[in-house]
Amino acid sequence: MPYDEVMESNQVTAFARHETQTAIVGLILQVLLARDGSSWIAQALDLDYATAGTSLEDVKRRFEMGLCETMQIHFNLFGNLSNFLHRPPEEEWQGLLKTADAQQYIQVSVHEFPKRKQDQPSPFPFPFGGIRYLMETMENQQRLLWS
Amino acid sequence: MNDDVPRETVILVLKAHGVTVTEDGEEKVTIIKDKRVEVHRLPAIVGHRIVVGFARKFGVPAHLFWHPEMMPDEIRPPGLVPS
Repeated sequence: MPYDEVMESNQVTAFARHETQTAIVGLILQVLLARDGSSWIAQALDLDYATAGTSLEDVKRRFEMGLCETMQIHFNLFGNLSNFLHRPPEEEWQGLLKTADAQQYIQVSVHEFPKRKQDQPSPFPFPFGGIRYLMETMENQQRLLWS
Repeated sequence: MNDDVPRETVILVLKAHGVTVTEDGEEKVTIIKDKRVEVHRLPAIVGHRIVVGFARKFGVPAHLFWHPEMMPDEIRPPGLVPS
């Protein structure tokens, strides 16, 4: 089935259909998780989007909800994601890799959004391919710096 | 050194600089300036890196998030005593 819009930005690929008034967006993101003072930060490496949270699980929840709602408002205002699909400045996430309290293990998890019931509006207006979280680690530093 | 900034201060400084900020419920915040549009579920305390990111994205001098009293007279909200 052809899409009205296909946007690719390195690791991010988004597909959208407008004729049915629905947008199907598939994203696979790499998200860096790190401490930020007394809170946590989730920084996407492929999108210029980051958010804060009070714990590891909390920042994931806020990231997923805020990202979905950000894409929805871009569709509402602009009809596409072209103003959103930009990479963050490298110095912003490179700095995270140098954080002193980097955790020394890798955590990878994929979050599927729940299927909605017919009479229940979805808080997530379109499905993702998944969000891949990367804890900052020495291994990640080497992989990111040398890839 | 604690670089955290209260959510209310983040919103106050953004608004003072002409950024449209709407709050919906306890944590949902929509931030709009020109074609830069982001929705966040902001906690009560926002960390340094997020604040610096907001400063870059929405064109606000970063130091004002930590020293909102230093905002110029013409944009400083009433009640904030100038430093």
